[in-house]
Amino acid sequence: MSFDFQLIYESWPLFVKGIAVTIFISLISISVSFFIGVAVALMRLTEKRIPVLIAVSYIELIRNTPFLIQVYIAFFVLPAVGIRMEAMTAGIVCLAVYGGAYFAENIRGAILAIPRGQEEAAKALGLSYWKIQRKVIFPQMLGYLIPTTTNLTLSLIKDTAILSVITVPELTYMAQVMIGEAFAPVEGFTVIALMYWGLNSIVAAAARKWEYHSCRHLRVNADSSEKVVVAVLPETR
Amino acid sequence: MDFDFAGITPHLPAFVQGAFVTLGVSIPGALLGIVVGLVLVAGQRAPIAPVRWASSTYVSFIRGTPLLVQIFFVYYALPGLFGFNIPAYFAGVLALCLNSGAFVTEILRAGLSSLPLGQWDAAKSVGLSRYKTWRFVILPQLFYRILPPLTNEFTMVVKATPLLSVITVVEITRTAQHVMNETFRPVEAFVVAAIFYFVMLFSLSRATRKLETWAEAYRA
Amino acid sequence: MFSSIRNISILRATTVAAVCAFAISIPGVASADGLLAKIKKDGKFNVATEAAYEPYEFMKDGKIVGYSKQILNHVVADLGVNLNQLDLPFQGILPGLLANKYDFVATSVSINAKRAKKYAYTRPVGTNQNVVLVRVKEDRIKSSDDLAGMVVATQLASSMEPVAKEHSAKLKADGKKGYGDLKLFQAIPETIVALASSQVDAVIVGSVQAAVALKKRPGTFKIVSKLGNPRYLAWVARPADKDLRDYMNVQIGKLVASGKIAEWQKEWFGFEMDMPSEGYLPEGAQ
Repeated sequence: MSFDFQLIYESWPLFVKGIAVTIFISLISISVSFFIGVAVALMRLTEKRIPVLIAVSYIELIRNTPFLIQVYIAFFVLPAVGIRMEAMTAGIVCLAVYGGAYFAENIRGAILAIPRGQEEAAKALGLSYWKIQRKVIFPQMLGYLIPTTTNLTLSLIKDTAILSVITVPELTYMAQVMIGEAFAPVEGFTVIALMYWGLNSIVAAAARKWEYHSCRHLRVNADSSEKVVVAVLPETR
Repeated sequence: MDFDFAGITPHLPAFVQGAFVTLGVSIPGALLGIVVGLVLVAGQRAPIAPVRWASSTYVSFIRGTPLLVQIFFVYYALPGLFGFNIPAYFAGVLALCLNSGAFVTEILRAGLSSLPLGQWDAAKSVGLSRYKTWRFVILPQLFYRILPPLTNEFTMVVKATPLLSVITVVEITRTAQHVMNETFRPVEAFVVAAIFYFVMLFSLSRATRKLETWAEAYRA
Repeated sequence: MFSSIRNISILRATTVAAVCAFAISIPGVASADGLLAKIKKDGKFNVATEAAYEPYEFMKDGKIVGYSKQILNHVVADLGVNLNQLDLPFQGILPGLLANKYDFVATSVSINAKRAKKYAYTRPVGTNQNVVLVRVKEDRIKSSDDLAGMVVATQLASSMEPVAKEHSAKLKADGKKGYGDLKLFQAIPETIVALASSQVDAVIVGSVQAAVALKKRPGTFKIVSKLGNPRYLAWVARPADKDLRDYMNVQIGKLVASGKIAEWQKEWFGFEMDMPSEGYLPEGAQ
């Protein structure tokens, strides 16, 4: 079996364009979805009926329908009710809305994981609300948030591939265009698989460094070589 | 823009058939995925270094690449590499189980490491053989710990089945595409598909949560 | 002594018999090499179709139907075998044939020089003229030149994709802008739905698909102009399977001669098409 390296070399600009779009979409959607997640988590945590109802409906609806269906609905169905979005915009919005529901659950879990005592003790010490959030609550949340956020980020980066079905010009779409012309599925899919793997490995490594750095106070043995084991399940494929 | 939901009713049997196909790929995919996961967990603990390395690399690769790309690879590229032909349904089940297996590995690993080390030591000190230890001490406790995450994993597999529509497995999403192609009415087709999925996935997530509380009661 | 002579005779007789049997079987072996004979022997004909090209081949109520399907049914009845028809995306259908995934491609494939070198086309089953389809209220696009700067859609890996790319390049060479964007969808109905929902400004499809769109969603679309020259649509076999291809040509010829093809074309398209029996293949074709 021969691997057509010449073809890969010729198609390389296509792949570079593709992964640039992938990174671009990931950056924007994941950032937006984080903020959506914070907002929805806070809504969920208020004890008032209406915000809780809205938050729960949003989370359950988004988490119990597959991403591909959401993408098809955004692209083919929303125009019928007047919301027209170009492919790239639709892709970013879809991914942000999808990620937002999952971030909301993660953040809610992080907030609930902090013992109440922390907040009460800080209050007893006379710290202001914002000081408490910034100096006491948030650093402790990081220990919980970073692994779950990393998992979710990696999943969302992989989910950008699904946007290829509505012709968003990201990496998987570029591969299909190249394969459509040259019919070399082995070369095409191998190359993009390796590129995704590389991208995700870089992100995962950066996240591990960040976790190491910001969770100094949580580590049991300062010189232990054990990685911080968090048995957190990935949320999406 | 006019909606014609009544016009979609003659297509409902097709959607129901699609739902059966969805289950028909998810259940084998998830079950085989557990088998793959067991193999990988064993591989990660193997005494031979290349086997350990291969297992970890495989898990890292599957978790680092999109499932859609894996599905394309299994259906289009594998036959090119090995020269055999594989119908869409089997390619779909294969891709799903190879993918799910990597995530099941993590569930099994986490489950095993959540067992108190004392269990192993106590079993040894009482004189139980390896087989007896696994059968009577470890596995019963493991079962309750891994059942909820495994059910969650099954939910993820069902959620992943729409991707099989791109290799023309006629599950719910592909049925919706057929209906859309036939009637040029995407709204009705995809809303119906979304409802089918929501019902399936919501029930599964409820079941998972019930399982969690049920399993809590049995854990030491 | 007699026994040894008898043994030799028996040995000789057996050898002669074996050689005769082998000789008789050789023609049988030779003919079994042909795909057509193999299909007849196995009783199964594996055919690939992209059932998203109405009214040639399309899905209705979960079954593949259409003008091409009618021809195929007739051929299969004549062969006396079971038909195993797969519905596959167009992008992999021709390469899949070369990869021996199935025996034959019975889907409408445009005849062009590049494909004719790699595949063995049958004689045409229909003709196709590419047109530009837009929304009925579209005022910006009145001719194919107005596609400059517009978002255009067509099918990925089809014969329309290079036509679109060439047209865009020609517009640029003429001093106008090329297409604003060329979006490639997996199937033609997706491009038409995208046009209806204003995701794209124009689509390039065959005139027959455009007619279907006009019929299914009245008052939504209009055809603006033609694009490129008309092409013949034919079925495809592997270059090694010329016996199957020639058999198909004979069958199609019979249907043309008996008037059945004209009847079916009127039924599915509303008009008759040119059905040449020769001169349709470009230079260097298989």
